[in-house]
Amino acid sequence: MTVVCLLLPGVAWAQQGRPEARASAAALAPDLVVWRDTTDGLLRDGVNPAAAWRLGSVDPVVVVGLRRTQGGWRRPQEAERPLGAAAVADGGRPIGRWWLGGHFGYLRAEDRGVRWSSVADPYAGSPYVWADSIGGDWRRDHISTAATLSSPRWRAWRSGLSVRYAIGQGSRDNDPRPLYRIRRIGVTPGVTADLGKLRIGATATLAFEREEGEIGDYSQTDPFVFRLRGMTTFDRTGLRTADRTRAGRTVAAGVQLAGPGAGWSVALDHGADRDSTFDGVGSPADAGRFRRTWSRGAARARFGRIEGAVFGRTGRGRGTDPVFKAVNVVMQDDTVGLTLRTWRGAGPHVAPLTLAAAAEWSKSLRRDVAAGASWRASDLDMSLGAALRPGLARGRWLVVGRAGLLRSLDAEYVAGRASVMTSILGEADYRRAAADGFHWLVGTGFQIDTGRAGDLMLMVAYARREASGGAMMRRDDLTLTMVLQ
Amino acid sequence: MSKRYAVAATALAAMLALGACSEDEGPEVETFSVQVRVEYPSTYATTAAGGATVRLRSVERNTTDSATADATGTVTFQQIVPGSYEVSASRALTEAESATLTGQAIAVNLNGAVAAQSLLGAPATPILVTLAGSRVGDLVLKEVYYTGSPTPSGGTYFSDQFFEIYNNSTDTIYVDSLYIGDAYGNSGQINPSSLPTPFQADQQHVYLSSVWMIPGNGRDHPLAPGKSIIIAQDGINHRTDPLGNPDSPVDLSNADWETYNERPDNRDTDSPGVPNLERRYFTGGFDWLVPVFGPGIVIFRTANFDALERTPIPGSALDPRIKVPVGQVIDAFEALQNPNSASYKRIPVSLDAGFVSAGTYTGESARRKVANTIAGRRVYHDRNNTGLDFEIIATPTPRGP
Repeated sequence: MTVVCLLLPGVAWAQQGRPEARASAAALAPDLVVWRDTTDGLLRDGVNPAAAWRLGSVDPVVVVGLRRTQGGWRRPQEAERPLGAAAVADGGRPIGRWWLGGHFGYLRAEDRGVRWSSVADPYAGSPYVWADSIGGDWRRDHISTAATLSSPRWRAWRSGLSVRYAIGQGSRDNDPRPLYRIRRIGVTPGVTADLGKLRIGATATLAFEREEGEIGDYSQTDPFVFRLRGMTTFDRTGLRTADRTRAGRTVAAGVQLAGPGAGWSVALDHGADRDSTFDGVGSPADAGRFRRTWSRGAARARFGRIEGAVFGRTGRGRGTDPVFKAVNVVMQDDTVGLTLRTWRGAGPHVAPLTLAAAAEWSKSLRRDVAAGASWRASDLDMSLGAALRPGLARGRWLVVGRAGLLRSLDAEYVAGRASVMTSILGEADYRRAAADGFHWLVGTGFQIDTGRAGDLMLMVAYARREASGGAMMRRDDLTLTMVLQ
Repeated sequence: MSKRYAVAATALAAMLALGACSEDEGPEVETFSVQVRVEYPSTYATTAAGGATVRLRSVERNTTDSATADATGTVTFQQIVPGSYEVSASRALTEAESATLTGQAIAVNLNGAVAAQSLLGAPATPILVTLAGSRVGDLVLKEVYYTGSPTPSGGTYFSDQFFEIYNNSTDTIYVDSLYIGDAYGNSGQINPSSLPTPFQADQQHVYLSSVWMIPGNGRDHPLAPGKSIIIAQDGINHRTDPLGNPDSPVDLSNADWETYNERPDNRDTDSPGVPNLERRYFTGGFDWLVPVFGPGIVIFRTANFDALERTPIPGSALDPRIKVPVGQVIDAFEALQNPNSASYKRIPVSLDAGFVSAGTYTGESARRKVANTIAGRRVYHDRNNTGLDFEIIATPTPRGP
């Protein structure tokens, strides 16, 4: 499991919720146990680049994986049957008094059965998504790269810089043959100060994203394009060809605190995303603006062989409609969670037995103001998990299991002045969010020392999420991963 | 050290403030009411058009709210969201009603419209729609075949377009000096840069790209009630002619006239068996090809064609267009690219309150619907609304039902 932890730079970057996450191994790494590394890496693994030197010399880690998901418990604009293959390489080492690390990831995705979305990720934030009524299968290729540099210590201070660049493209092979190209560049400078028993850090992030879409250029028929503007509001028109551009910007800042020996740590981040969408190239027309502010925080503490963490996330998004010239889309997402784990042995990553428990409360709200349509849902997810590592002669065997209950605490759906899209986008998303259910996962991995070639770990995991109470929704997830270090 | 902490704290505070900035968000959307008042033409005995059907169409959503005006000619639409809206109204007057209002006992279809306008809140004053119209009957465009046809090799063919004009009245009408022309403007969002015609705001005129005239001295070409004439782009049997298309649905070798576009390079073939219309104004290419995505066609009479104003196209170096007052138009037809192309309408609403749409190079045709048959003579609907009066049929039926 050590090698998996070293992948966290990519994971952390992916978790920022932007589409480039598709290029990360995180898209393939199974959530093997309920424990979440909420703050574990904040001062150590590259989220704050000034602290990346603590990784020391990291031999290149290569991860190759396959992931197949299917089932109806999904958001309405997600693929019905996504299939992905990825290869990721991470590594880093000290160079003199400096530390330099790098990341490269490639993802090939075959997303089958995508409806009502012709963009890279319809749930990345902005609701101003275009689509056609036909839907189809998408092929996507995404590449992500990152470089992290940590400076030498100057008195109590260190500084660092992380630069990330990701590109991707996707297309659909049936009329009206939509396609997109996306690129994102981000930079995160950071500083840390070692104040004896206390370590502090601060980061700032500035990232820019640009997604360009086309519809109809390679089509035999004139497309009928839907411009979605919320869960109910939309307009549609027939077109010969069309172009659309979304320009995004993220500004964020974070602070981190850690106690002696990483016995406890606290991290807070706050940021704002801004997306502006335009139709046309020569004389672009406003197609919607979306603003979201978000905050997240986590605190972790370790007492002997017990480790606990609390974490929270909150996000508020508002979309200014290009026609109404006023805010018509309101989004809200809040999550608070608690995780605990205990283990036998020297540490959680090498322990023969790890037990974990988690509880997470989340609340979501979506509103289409003009239509008077809205839904809200809050639920509680409670999980138990265990990881076993029986020793073997030539390697280590890992067996993990997890099971949990999902209970809806409060839910309300108001159709308002419904349109044809209300049930497709709004009601379907609400039913998913408001369903009771359960989930479980089983997985196993086998780690082999291959001598000079390093350690090889093969992992397979199967997860299921199933609604109860007659909702007839299910989602199955199969992951195969090979890690070479 | 404390100074460094202060600098770091200041920088962090600045970053947080930047991140928290909510930028240029506005207030949430609010609904409002829209009041519309419908009036008869100024020459009518009464101003308020009570009983008129009023429609408020959202351009973006292509949804229409409809209501009937009260005795004061007023309608109030509630809970309207901001956006672009077209307002239109119609009123069919019986002979008795027309006699009361105008002194003439002639059934009249009245239409009126206000071009799309942005409504972001309740208008300070009611939106005024003034009705206008034309008498029922007379000559009508009975069928317009504009879509073209596919060729056996997968290509496209558009030389088989035709227009059929029908005498919908009970009297013989001489079609000498009858003009036919096509309205200027895109049929829809053909390309991302396609814009509606810049003449759309002028609802008192129709702007024509090309105009043809039936020759004659006034009584050379009588058209009996229930009879029609065919005007072909090319008067040939398109199925068998070497220059035709074996998959064309029409034989136009027996057309009454063709629009022969005489050019020095002889790019348009003159069919010897079909007389030519008189070309009065032309801005096209090799032939009189009307948009296969949907044309706007009018037939009209004018005392002096040369006196009609030739209006430059705003922002364009193309040739000017012929400006025809709506009062001179006898009948109009409009087809647009698809049902959501209403904002591209070129024909003033008083002449034609609707439109149809069909495929492109499909061989489909737009044919007027039969209202009733009297002693074997078909009487076609003439409500000055292509969307109501016409239907799209799979195959053209020149001189057919």
